[in-house]
Amino acid sequence: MIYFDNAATSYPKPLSVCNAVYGALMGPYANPGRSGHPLSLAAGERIFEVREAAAEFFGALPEEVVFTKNATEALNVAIKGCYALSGKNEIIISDLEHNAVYRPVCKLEKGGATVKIFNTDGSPEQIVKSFEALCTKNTALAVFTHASNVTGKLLPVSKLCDVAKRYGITTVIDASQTAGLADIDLGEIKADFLCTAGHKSLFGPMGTGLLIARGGADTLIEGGTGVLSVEKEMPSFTPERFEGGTLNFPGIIGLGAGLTFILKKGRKTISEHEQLLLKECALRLEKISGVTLYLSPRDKALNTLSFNIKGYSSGEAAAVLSKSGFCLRSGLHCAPLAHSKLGTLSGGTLRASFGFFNTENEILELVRAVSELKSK
Amino acid sequence: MKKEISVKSFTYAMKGKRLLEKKAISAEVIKKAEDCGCIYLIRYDDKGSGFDVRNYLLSSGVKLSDKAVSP
Repeated sequence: MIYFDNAATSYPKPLSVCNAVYGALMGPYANPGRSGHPLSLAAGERIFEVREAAAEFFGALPEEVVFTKNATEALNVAIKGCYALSGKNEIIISDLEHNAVYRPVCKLEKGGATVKIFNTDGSPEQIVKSFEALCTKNTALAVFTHASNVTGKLLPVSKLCDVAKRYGITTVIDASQTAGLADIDLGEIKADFLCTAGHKSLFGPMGTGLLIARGGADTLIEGGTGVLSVEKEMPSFTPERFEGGTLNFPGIIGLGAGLTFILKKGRKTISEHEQLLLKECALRLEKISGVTLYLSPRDKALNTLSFNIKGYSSGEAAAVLSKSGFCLRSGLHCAPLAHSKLGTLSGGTLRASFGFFNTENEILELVRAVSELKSK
Repeated sequence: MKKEISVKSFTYAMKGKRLLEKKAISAEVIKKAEDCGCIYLIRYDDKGSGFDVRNYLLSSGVKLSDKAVSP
Protein backbone atom coordinates (compact mmCIF):
# COMPACT_ATOMS: atom_id res chain seq x y z
CA MET A 1 0.00 0.00 0.00
CA ILE A 2 1.27 3.47 -0.89
CA TYR A 3 -0.17 6.33 1.12
CA PHE A 4 -0.65 9.66 -0.63
CA ASP A 5 -3.30 11.23 1.62
CA ASN A 6 -1.09 13.21 3.96
CA ALA A 7 -3.18 16.36 3.56
CA ALA A 8 -5.96 14.48 5.38
CA THR A 9 -3.63 13.11 8.02
CA SER A 10 0.00 12.10 7.92
CA TYR A 11 0.73 8.39 7.88
CA PRO A 12 2.69 6.60 9.13
CA LYS A 13 3.42 8.50 12.30
CA PRO A 14 7.00 8.50 13.54
CA LEU A 15 7.69 5.69 15.99
CA SER A 16 8.62 8.30 18.60
CA VAL A 17 5.06 9.69 18.38
CA CYS A 18 3.55 6.22 18.91
CA ASN A 19 5.86 5.60 21.86
CA ALA A 20 5.03 8.98 23.38
CA VAL A 21 1.28 8.25 23.21
CA TYR A 22 1.86 4.85 24.78
CA GLY A 23 3.98 6.41 27.51
CA ALA A 24 1.31 9.01 28.22
CA LEU A 25 -1.30 6.31 28.66
CA MET A 26 0.93 4.08 30.76
CA GLY A 27 1.74 6.93 33.11
CA PRO A 28 1.89 7.42 35.94
CA TYR A 29 -0.23 10.44 34.96
CA ALA A 30 -3.62 11.81 35.95
CA ASN A 31 -5.82 14.69 34.81
CA PRO A 32 -3.53 17.67 34.06
CA GLY A 33 -4.36 20.98 35.72
CA ARG A 34 -7.01 19.57 37.98
CA SER A 35 -5.55 18.17 41.18
CA GLY A 36 -2.62 18.97 43.40
CA HIS A 37 -1.20 15.47 43.68
CA PRO A 38 1.99 14.46 41.88
CA LEU A 39 0.28 12.53 39.06
CA SER A 40 -1.83 15.51 38.04
CA LEU A 41 1.05 17.99 38.38
CA ALA A 42 3.36 15.71 36.37
CA ALA A 43 0.79 15.50 33.57
CA GLY A 44 0.39 19.28 33.68
CA GLU A 45 4.13 19.70 33.37
CA ARG A 46 4.24 17.39 30.31
CA ILE A 47 1.46 19.46 28.74
CA PHE A 48 3.33 22.66 29.46
CA GLU A 49 6.43 21.25 27.77
CA VAL A 50 4.39 20.76 24.59
CA ARG A 51 3.03 24.31 24.93
CA GLU A 52 6.58 25.57 25.16
CA ALA A 53 7.63 23.52 22.14
CA ALA A 54 4.67 24.70 20.05
CA ALA A 55 5.24 28.30 21.15
CA GLU A 56 8.86 28.16 20.09
CA PHE A 57 7.92 26.47 16.82
CA PHE A 58 5.53 29.25 15.86
CA GLY A 59 7.21 32.23 17.50
CA ALA A 60 4.55 32.64 20.18
CA LEU A 61 4.31 32.54 23.98
CA PRO A 62 3.44 29.31 25.82
CA GLU A 63 0.27 30.83 27.26
CA GLU A 64 -0.91 31.70 23.73
CA VAL A 65 -0.92 28.03 22.75
CA VAL A 66 -4.38 26.53 23.10
CA PHE A 67 -4.92 22.81 22.53
CA THR A 68 -8.00 21.90 20.55
CA LYS A 69 -9.30 18.66 19.14
CA ASN A 70 -8.59 19.74 15.55
CA ALA A 71 -8.18 22.77 13.30
CA THR A 72 -11.95 22.99 12.84
CA GLU A 73 -12.48 23.57 16.54
CA ALA A 74 -9.66 26.13 16.61
CA LEU A 75 -11.18 27.98 13.66
CA ASN A 76 -14.66 27.95 15.16
CA VAL A 77 -13.35 29.40 18.42
CA ALA A 78 -11.40 32.12 16.62
CA ILE A 79 -14.05 33.03 14.03
CA LYS A 80 -17.16 32.98 16.19
CA GLY A 81 -15.39 34.27 19.29
CA CYS A 82 -13.87 37.28 17.51
CA TYR A 83 -17.00 38.11 15.61
CA ALA A 84 -19.05 38.09 18.81
CA LEU A 85 -16.81 40.70 20.44
CA SER A 86 -16.15 42.84 17.38
CA GLY A 87 -19.26 45.00 17.14
CA LYS A 88 -18.82 44.94 13.35
CA ASN A 89 -20.59 42.82 10.79
CA GLU A 90 -18.34 42.07 7.81
CA ILE A 91 -16.17 39.02 7.38
CA ILE A 92 -13.69 38.48 4.55
CA ILE A 93 -12.53 35.03 3.47
CA SER A 94 -10.62 33.73 0.47
CA ASP A 95 -12.13 31.74 -2.37
CA LEU A 96 -10.07 28.70 -1.38
CA GLU A 97 -11.45 28.13 2.09
CA HIS A 98 -12.19 24.74 3.57
CA ASN A 99 -15.58 24.14 5.16
CA ALA A 100 -13.89 24.55 8.54
CA VAL A 101 -13.89 28.25 7.67
CA TYR A 102 -16.74 28.48 5.18
CA ARG A 103 -19.41 26.82 7.32
CA PRO A 104 -18.76 28.87 10.48
CA VAL A 105 -18.91 32.12 8.46
CA CYS A 106 -22.07 30.93 6.67
CA LYS A 107 -23.62 30.34 10.08
CA LEU A 108 -22.70 33.90 11.07
CA GLU A 109 -24.11 35.13 7.77
CA LYS A 110 -27.43 33.58 8.70
CA GLY A 111 -27.32 35.67 11.86
CA GLY A 112 -26.76 38.90 9.94
CA ALA A 113 -23.07 39.01 9.03
CA THR A 114 -21.98 40.04 5.55
CA VAL A 115 -19.49 37.61 4.07
CA LYS A 116 -17.15 38.84 1.33
CA ILE A 117 -14.91 36.53 -0.68
CA PHE A 118 -11.64 37.67 -2.23
CA ASN A 119 -10.15 36.25 -5.40
CA THR A 120 -6.87 34.35 -5.08
CA ASP A 121 -6.00 34.24 -8.78
CA GLY A 122 -2.70 35.63 -9.91
CA SER A 123 0.42 36.85 -8.17
CA PRO A 124 0.75 37.60 -4.45
CA GLU A 125 0.43 41.31 -5.27
CA GLN A 126 -2.81 40.72 -7.16
CA ILE A 127 -4.18 38.63 -4.29
CA VAL A 128 -3.36 41.34 -1.75
CA LYS A 129 -5.01 43.93 -4.00
CA SER A 130 -8.13 41.82 -4.34
CA PHE A 131 -8.25 41.45 -0.56
CA GLU A 132 -7.70 45.10 0.21
CA ALA A 133 -10.52 46.09 -2.14
CA LEU A 134 -12.93 44.39 0.29
CA CYS A 135 -11.56 45.83 3.54
CA THR A 136 -13.67 48.46 5.26
CA LYS A 137 -13.93 50.04 8.69
CA ASN A 138 -16.82 47.69 9.32
CA THR A 139 -14.85 44.50 8.70
CA ALA A 140 -14.69 42.43 11.87
CA LEU A 141 -12.31 39.76 10.72
CA ALA A 142 -10.47 38.26 7.80
CA VAL A 143 -9.94 34.52 7.60
CA PHE A 144 -7.68 32.93 5.05
CA THR A 145 -5.94 29.67 4.44
CA HIS A 146 -2.15 29.60 4.24
CA ALA A 147 -2.37 27.01 1.47
CA SER A 148 -5.31 25.46 -0.33
CA ASN A 149 -6.02 21.89 0.70
CA VAL A 150 -7.15 21.26 -2.90
CA THR A 151 -4.55 22.84 -5.17
CA GLY A 152 -1.81 23.54 -2.67
CA LYS A 153 -1.67 27.19 -3.74
CA LEU A 154 0.04 29.36 -1.13
CA LEU A 155 -1.40 32.70 -0.09
CA PRO A 156 0.75 35.68 0.96
CA VAL A 157 -0.56 35.57 4.53
CA SER A 158 1.99 37.93 6.01
CA LYS A 159 1.11 40.69 3.53
CA LEU A 160 -2.61 40.04 3.98
CA CYS A 161 -2.23 40.41 7.76
CA ASP A 162 -0.32 43.68 7.29
CA VAL A 163 -3.13 45.09 5.16
CA ALA A 164 -5.77 43.89 7.64
CA LYS A 165 -3.91 45.58 10.52
CA ARG A 166 -4.12 48.91 8.71
CA TYR A 167 -7.91 48.62 8.72
CA GLY A 168 -8.10 47.32 12.31
CA ILE A 169 -9.30 43.92 11.12
CA THR A 170 -8.67 40.82 13.22
CA THR A 171 -6.91 38.09 11.25
CA VAL A 172 -7.29 34.33 11.46
CA ILE A 173 -4.97 32.05 9.48
CA ASP A 174 -5.83 28.45 8.69
CA ALA A 175 -2.42 26.80 8.60
CA SER A 176 -3.71 23.23 8.53
CA GLN A 177 -1.83 22.41 5.33
CA THR A 178 1.35 24.32 6.07
CA ALA A 179 2.19 23.98 9.77
CA GLY A 180 5.27 21.79 9.93
CA LEU A 181 6.24 22.55 6.33
CA ALA A 182 6.25 26.32 5.85
CA ASP A 183 8.21 28.72 8.01
CA ILE A 184 5.54 30.23 10.25
CA ASP A 185 6.94 32.81 12.64
CA LEU A 186 4.29 34.86 14.39
CA GLY A 187 6.96 37.38 15.21
CA GLU A 188 6.95 38.13 11.48
CA ILE A 189 3.38 37.28 10.52
CA LYS A 190 1.14 39.64 12.44
CA ALA A 191 -1.85 37.32 12.74
CA ASP A 192 -4.20 37.47 15.70
CA PHE A 193 -5.05 33.79 15.52
CA LEU A 194 -3.29 30.85 13.92
CA CYS A 195 -5.23 27.61 13.64
CA THR A 196 -3.89 24.25 12.61
CA ALA A 197 -4.37 20.54 12.83
CA GLY A 198 -1.87 18.67 14.94
CA HIS A 199 -2.14 15.44 12.99
CA LYS A 200 -1.02 16.49 9.52
CA SER A 201 2.49 17.81 8.93
CA LEU A 202 3.05 18.22 12.67
CA PHE A 203 2.90 14.39 12.92
CA GLY A 204 0.68 14.31 16.02
CA PRO A 205 -2.19 11.87 16.53
CA MET A 206 -5.63 12.53 15.05
CA GLY A 207 -7.81 14.43 17.50
CA THR A 208 -5.20 17.13 18.07
CA GLY A 209 -5.19 20.73 16.93
CA LEU A 210 -3.71 24.06 17.90
CA LEU A 211 -5.03 27.57 18.28
CA ILE A 212 -2.40 30.22 18.79
CA ALA A 213 -4.49 32.98 20.32
CA ARG A 214 -3.00 36.45 20.43
CA GLY A 215 -6.25 38.35 20.19
CA GLY A 216 -9.39 38.51 22.29
CA ALA A 217 -12.37 36.30 21.61
CA ASP A 218 -15.55 35.18 23.28
CA THR A 219 -15.63 31.56 24.39
CA LEU A 220 -17.31 28.81 22.42
CA ILE A 221 -17.09 26.14 25.09
CA GLU A 222 -17.50 26.72 28.79
CA GLY A 223 -16.56 24.28 31.48
CA GLY A 224 -14.07 23.29 34.12
CA THR A 225 -10.60 24.80 34.00
CA GLY A 226 -9.17 23.83 37.37
CA VAL A 227 -8.88 27.51 38.37
CA LEU A 228 -11.27 30.28 39.48
CA SER A 229 -13.94 27.65 39.96
CA VAL A 230 -16.23 29.96 41.89
CA GLU A 231 -16.51 32.31 38.90
CA LYS A 232 -19.48 31.86 36.57
CA GLU A 233 -17.49 32.75 33.49
CA MET A 234 -14.41 31.29 31.88
CA PRO A 235 -11.09 32.87 32.88
CA SER A 236 -10.12 35.99 30.94
CA PHE A 237 -6.63 34.64 30.22
CA THR A 238 -5.41 32.03 27.79
CA PRO A 239 -5.01 29.13 27.38
CA GLU A 240 -7.52 28.20 30.09
CA ARG A 241 -10.12 30.57 28.60
CA PHE A 242 -10.45 28.29 25.57
CA GLU A 243 -9.68 24.93 27.18
CA GLY A 244 -12.81 23.97 29.06
CA GLY A 245 -12.82 20.32 30.11
CA THR A 246 -10.18 17.64 30.25
CA LEU A 247 -7.48 17.87 27.62
CA ASN A 248 -6.52 15.08 25.22
CA PHE A 249 -3.42 14.26 27.22
CA PRO A 250 -2.08 11.31 25.14
CA GLY A 251 -2.79 13.19 21.93
CA ILE A 252 -1.01 16.34 23.08
CA ILE A 253 2.00 14.35 24.26
CA GLY A 254 2.06 12.66 20.85
CA LEU A 255 1.89 16.07 19.19
CA GLY A 256 4.85 17.15 21.28
CA ALA A 257 6.79 14.15 20.01
CA GLY A 258 5.78 15.15 16.48
CA LEU A 259 7.26 18.60 17.00
CA THR A 260 10.44 17.05 18.34
CA PHE A 261 10.59 14.78 15.29
CA ILE A 262 10.37 17.81 12.97
CA LEU A 263 13.07 19.68 14.86
CA LYS A 264 15.31 16.59 14.72
CA LYS A 265 14.85 16.02 10.99
CA GLY A 266 14.67 19.71 10.16
CA ARG A 267 11.49 21.40 8.98
CA LYS A 268 13.23 22.60 5.85
CA THR A 269 14.54 19.12 5.03
CA ILE A 270 11.07 17.63 5.40
CA SER A 271 9.49 20.41 3.36
CA GLU A 272 12.06 20.20 0.57
CA HIS A 273 11.62 16.44 0.36
CA GLU A 274 7.86 16.75 -0.04
CA GLN A 275 8.17 19.60 -2.53
CA LEU A 276 10.58 17.52 -4.57
CA LEU A 277 8.10 14.63 -4.67
CA LEU A 278 5.32 17.02 -5.61
CA LYS A 279 7.28 18.53 -8.46
CA GLU A 280 8.41 15.15 -9.72
CA CYS A 281 4.86 13.86 -9.71
CA ALA A 282 3.39 16.99 -11.30
CA LEU A 283 5.99 17.11 -14.08
CA ARG A 284 5.42 13.45 -14.95
CA LEU A 285 1.64 13.54 -14.73
CA GLU A 286 1.59 16.67 -16.88
CA LYS A 287 3.08 14.66 -19.74
CA ILE A 288 0.28 12.07 -19.73
CA SER A 289 -2.38 13.01 -22.21
CA GLY A 290 -5.83 13.30 -20.66
CA VAL A 291 -4.47 14.28 -17.24
CA THR A 292 -5.47 17.75 -16.04
CA LEU A 293 -3.44 19.32 -13.24
CA TYR A 294 -4.99 22.07 -11.14
CA LEU A 295 -1.72 23.78 -10.25
CA SER A 296 1.19 24.18 -12.59
CA PRO A 297 4.34 22.23 -11.65
CA ARG A 298 6.09 25.57 -11.93
CA ASP A 299 3.97 27.17 -9.18
CA LYS A 300 5.20 26.99 -5.61
CA ALA A 301 3.29 24.50 -3.50
CA LEU A 302 4.19 22.30 -0.57
CA ASN A 303 2.84 18.78 -0.82
CA THR A 304 -0.60 18.73 -2.43
CA LEU A 305 -1.54 18.02 -6.03
CA SER A 306 -5.02 17.86 -7.51
CA PHE A 307 -5.68 16.32 -10.90
CA ASN A 308 -8.26 14.55 -13.00
CA ILE A 309 -8.06 11.84 -15.62
CA LYS A 310 -10.16 12.11 -18.74
CA GLY A 311 -12.83 9.43 -18.92
CA TYR A 312 -12.93 8.84 -15.16
CA SER A 313 -14.71 10.65 -12.39
CA SER A 314 -12.40 11.41 -9.49
CA GLY A 315 -14.22 8.78 -7.43
CA GLU A 316 -13.84 6.11 -10.11
CA ALA A 317 -10.16 6.87 -10.56
CA ALA A 318 -9.54 6.78 -6.80
CA ALA A 319 -11.36 3.46 -6.52
CA VAL A 320 -9.31 1.88 -9.32
CA LEU A 321 -6.08 3.23 -7.90
CA SER A 322 -7.09 2.03 -4.46
CA LYS A 323 -7.41 -1.51 -5.81
CA SER A 324 -3.85 -1.14 -7.09
CA GLY A 325 -2.73 -0.14 -3.59
CA PHE A 326 -2.72 3.66 -3.76
CA CYS A 327 -4.42 5.77 -1.10
CA LEU A 328 -5.57 9.04 -2.67
CA ARG A 329 -8.53 11.23 -1.89
CA SER A 330 -11.24 12.06 -4.38
CA GLY A 331 -14.21 14.42 -4.36
CA LEU A 332 -14.49 17.91 -2.97
CA HIS A 333 -12.06 17.65 -0.04
CA CYS A 334 -14.54 19.63 2.10
CA ALA A 335 -13.67 22.71 0.03
CA PRO A 336 -16.58 23.52 -2.29
CA LEU A 337 -15.41 27.12 -2.73
CA ALA A 338 -12.10 25.99 -4.20
CA HIS A 339 -13.78 23.47 -6.46
CA SER A 340 -16.30 26.00 -7.60
CA LYS A 341 -13.40 28.21 -8.60
CA LEU A 342 -11.67 25.35 -10.43
CA GLY A 343 -14.88 24.34 -12.20
CA THR A 344 -14.78 20.92 -10.55
CA LEU A 345 -17.71 21.30 -8.17
CA SER A 346 -19.70 18.55 -9.87
CA GLY A 347 -17.07 15.82 -9.84
CA GLY A 348 -14.24 17.01 -7.65
CA THR A 349 -10.63 16.03 -8.21
CA LEU A 350 -8.17 13.33 -7.32
CA ARG A 351 -5.75 14.58 -4.71
CA ALA A 352 -2.30 13.18 -4.03
CA SER A 353 -0.63 14.66 -0.97
CA PHE A 354 2.87 13.60 -0.12
CA GLY A 355 4.56 13.00 3.18
CA PHE A 356 8.00 12.69 4.64
CA PHE A 357 7.95 8.90 4.42
CA ASN A 358 7.07 8.80 0.70
CA THR A 359 9.80 8.06 -1.81
CA GLU A 360 10.53 8.92 -5.44
CA ASN A 361 9.95 5.28 -6.38
CA GLU A 362 6.43 5.53 -5.02
CA ILE A 363 5.84 8.57 -7.22
CA LEU A 364 7.01 6.62 -10.26
CA GLU A 365 4.64 3.79 -9.36
CA LEU A 366 1.72 6.21 -9.10
CA VAL A 367 2.59 7.82 -12.43
CA ARG A 368 2.79 4.38 -14.03
CA ALA A 369 -0.57 3.39 -12.55
CA VAL A 370 -2.21 6.60 -13.79
CA SER A 371 -0.68 6.07 -17.20
CA GLU A 372 -1.99 2.50 -17.39
CA LEU A 373 -5.39 3.61 -16.18
CA LYS A 374 -5.45 6.19 -18.92
CA SER A 375 -4.54 3.73 -21.65
CA LYS A 376 -7.29 1.25 -20.76
CA MET B 1 13.82 30.02 53.13
CA LYS B 2 10.83 28.84 51.11
CA LYS B 3 8.41 31.46 49.84
CA GLU B 4 5.23 31.18 47.85
CA ILE B 5 3.69 33.39 45.24
CA SER B 6 0.19 32.92 43.88
CA VAL B 7 -0.46 32.90 40.14
CA LYS B 8 -3.58 32.86 37.97
CA SER B 9 -3.25 29.38 36.50
CA PHE B 10 -1.20 26.24 36.17
CA THR B 11 0.20 27.54 32.89
CA TYR B 12 1.47 30.71 34.55
CA ALA B 13 2.79 28.67 37.46
CA MET B 14 4.85 26.60 35.03
CA LYS B 15 5.98 29.69 33.16
CA GLY B 16 7.06 31.26 36.45
CA LYS B 17 8.83 28.11 37.54
CA ARG B 18 10.82 28.03 34.31
CA LEU B 19 11.74 31.71 34.64
CA LEU B 20 12.95 31.24 38.20
CA GLU B 21 14.95 28.16 37.25
CA LYS B 22 16.66 30.22 34.56
CA LYS B 23 17.81 32.49 37.40
CA ALA B 24 19.06 29.40 39.29
CA ILE B 25 16.22 29.69 41.79
CA SER B 26 14.75 26.30 42.57
CA ALA B 27 10.95 26.30 42.36
CA GLU B 28 7.99 23.94 42.40
CA VAL B 29 4.34 24.26 41.49
CA ILE B 30 1.71 23.45 44.06
CA LYS B 31 -2.05 23.62 44.03
CA LYS B 32 -4.21 24.56 46.99
CA ALA B 33 -7.96 24.63 47.49
CA GLU B 34 -9.20 28.01 48.70
CA ASP B 35 -12.69 29.36 49.15
CA CYS B 36 -12.52 30.99 45.70
CA GLY B 37 -11.69 27.61 44.15
CA CYS B 38 -8.26 26.20 43.51
CA ILE B 39 -5.21 28.38 43.19
CA TYR B 40 -1.72 27.67 41.99
CA LEU B 41 1.38 28.71 43.85
CA ILE B 42 5.00 28.79 42.94
CA ARG B 43 7.07 27.76 45.95
CA TYR B 44 10.64 28.93 45.56
CA ASP B 45 13.89 29.20 47.45
CA ASP B 46 14.47 32.72 48.66
CA LYS B 47 18.18 33.07 49.24
CA GLY B 48 17.79 36.51 50.73
CA SER B 49 19.66 38.20 47.90
CA GLY B 50 17.09 40.92 47.58
CA PHE B 51 16.08 39.74 44.12
CA ASP B 52 12.51 40.89 43.53
CA VAL B 53 10.80 37.70 42.40
CA ARG B 54 7.34 39.21 42.22
CA ASN B 55 8.42 42.05 39.99
CA TYR B 56 10.57 39.75 37.86
CA LEU B 57 7.68 37.37 37.20
CA LEU B 58 5.22 40.17 36.60
CA SER B 59 7.47 41.94 34.11
CA SER B 60 8.11 38.62 32.34
CA GLY B 61 4.41 38.17 31.60
CA VAL B 62 3.40 35.88 34.46
CA LYS B 63 -0.10 36.75 35.63
CA LEU B 64 -0.03 36.83 39.41
CA SER B 65 -3.04 36.37 41.59
CA ASP B 66 -3.95 38.52 44.56
CA LYS B 67 -5.63 35.55 46.23
CA ALA B 68 -2.75 34.45 48.40
CA VAL B 69 0.88 35.23 48.94
CA SER B 70 2.25 33.40 51.92
CA PRO B 71 5.63 33.76 53.61
